[in-house]
Amino acid sequence: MNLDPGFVLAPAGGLLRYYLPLSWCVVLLGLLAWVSGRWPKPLRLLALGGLVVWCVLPGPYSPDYWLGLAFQMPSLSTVLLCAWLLWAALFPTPQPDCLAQANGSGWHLALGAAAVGLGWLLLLDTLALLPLELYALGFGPGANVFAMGLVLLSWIFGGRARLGWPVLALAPLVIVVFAASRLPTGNVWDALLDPWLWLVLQIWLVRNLWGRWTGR
Amino acid sequence: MPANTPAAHASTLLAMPAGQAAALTAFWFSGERESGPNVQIAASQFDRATQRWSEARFVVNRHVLGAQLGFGVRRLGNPVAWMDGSGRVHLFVVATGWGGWAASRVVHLRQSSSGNTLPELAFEPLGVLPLSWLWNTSHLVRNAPLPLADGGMVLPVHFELGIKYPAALRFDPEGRFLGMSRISARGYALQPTLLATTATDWVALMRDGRPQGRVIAARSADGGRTWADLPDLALLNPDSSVGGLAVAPGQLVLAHNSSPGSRATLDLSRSVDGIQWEALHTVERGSGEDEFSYPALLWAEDSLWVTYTVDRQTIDWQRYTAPPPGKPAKPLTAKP
Repeated sequence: MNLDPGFVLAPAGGLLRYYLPLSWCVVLLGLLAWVSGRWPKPLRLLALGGLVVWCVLPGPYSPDYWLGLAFQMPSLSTVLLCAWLLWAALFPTPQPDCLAQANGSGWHLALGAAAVGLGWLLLLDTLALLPLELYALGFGPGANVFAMGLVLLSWIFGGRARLGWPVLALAPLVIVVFAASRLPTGNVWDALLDPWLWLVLQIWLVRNLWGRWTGR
Repeated sequence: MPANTPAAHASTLLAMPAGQAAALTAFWFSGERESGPNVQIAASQFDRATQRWSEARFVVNRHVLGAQLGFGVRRLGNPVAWMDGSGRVHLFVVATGWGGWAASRVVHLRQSSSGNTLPELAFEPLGVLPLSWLWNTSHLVRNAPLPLADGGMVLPVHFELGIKYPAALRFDPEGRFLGMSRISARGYALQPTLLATTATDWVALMRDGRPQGRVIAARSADGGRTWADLPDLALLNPDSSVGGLAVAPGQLVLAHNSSPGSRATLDLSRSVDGIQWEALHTVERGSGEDEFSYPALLWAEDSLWVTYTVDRQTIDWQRYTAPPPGKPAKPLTAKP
């Protein structure tokens, strides 16, 4: 238990009041941008605009009201990934598709596997099946140090593997935003990984490992 | 009881500061039925001058709470009250997402009104306590916080999603969340009540979620930082909530259901160390399907106050006064 009275855990002031609707809006926009990749551009922009209008509707008329009821808030990683998907859709560049590069890259798979492993540990901890209280440790200053270690590792190995900048920048950006804001909950694990991202990473990991195994 | 509320459950008591008209405030959840969509948090105050409880009113509504939080609240449940170092009342309330009590979260509210008389008492949410990585489910509150010498407190909670385990949450004197620790490794212990035998030696007593169980115990020797399981107590526990209170060092009181397989009998027991208990007084003795459950204890006005649910329909109360100093010692006498 972190019992340092001087260590502020919670996100500051009214940040949460804005983070919940904004974060879910970005997530929904990013997912829509990703699935609408082959749509005609005018239709795609119309759909994105319609989603923004839906998101700003008040209270129970907005999707974030119900997403928050069920799932609280997405992790900073999910929000930043979806923000990058949205950015890439709105401002496409001639640079190589980093998602395509990620499929099959050994270092990408290693990072993905590490995130999946962390999720399994957090799930086992939720069910009190671990000898240590992993989630509770995420509130303390030690967790920030651990997360910075992850960032350094991702830079070292990611730089060697020439990972695309979105993957390289994700972890340090999450840590910087978390350190400054304590979003979304004051717990570093909630900032790095949420259960939905964890599920998606597992599907991605299984598909890529299967592809490597079958030689495709 | 508020009008048109056939169901009530899970009371909690809060002592009010000296000099105020009210000696104590009781909170509970009330509505058309437990887990009903119109359940709200009700409150009533015991007036020092009239020696009567005020007419109850609702103080937390899930629709207003949802609007304030920015996301939906499906149902409201158990409340727990605490007063911080600045004299503000805090409420910790079970609020569910999709699903039943297994989808529970603990919402932290704080008094927003300038005064805390019942007519003016109002609350604003500070947020949902972050207690679990799995979409922040599934924790609940039930028993009163353990006050600390520095003005802070430790709030007992439990996790309930298939397995059940108790935990302790630490707060500073202003009500800021400082951290959490698991109390027991057993997967069937819930609704802990915390008793301090010394400043650092604490005992947690818990409800046993198994049939034909006993009151479950754990001990901390370092002020709640770490806990160790103890053998079950000799006290029977028919899968029912217990409520404990340390009236003074070496004077611990526990309210609990003592009849096997039923909540028809509600007893008070006393202990010196939190482990060995002796019967003190029977609060209620019913029969058959009678239920006297979810007790809450408070020491205030030189009296032991006990509130409890009756048949999931009303909240009843008893007040026990101790004999004056110098008089022969005798069992606490009831003063309805």
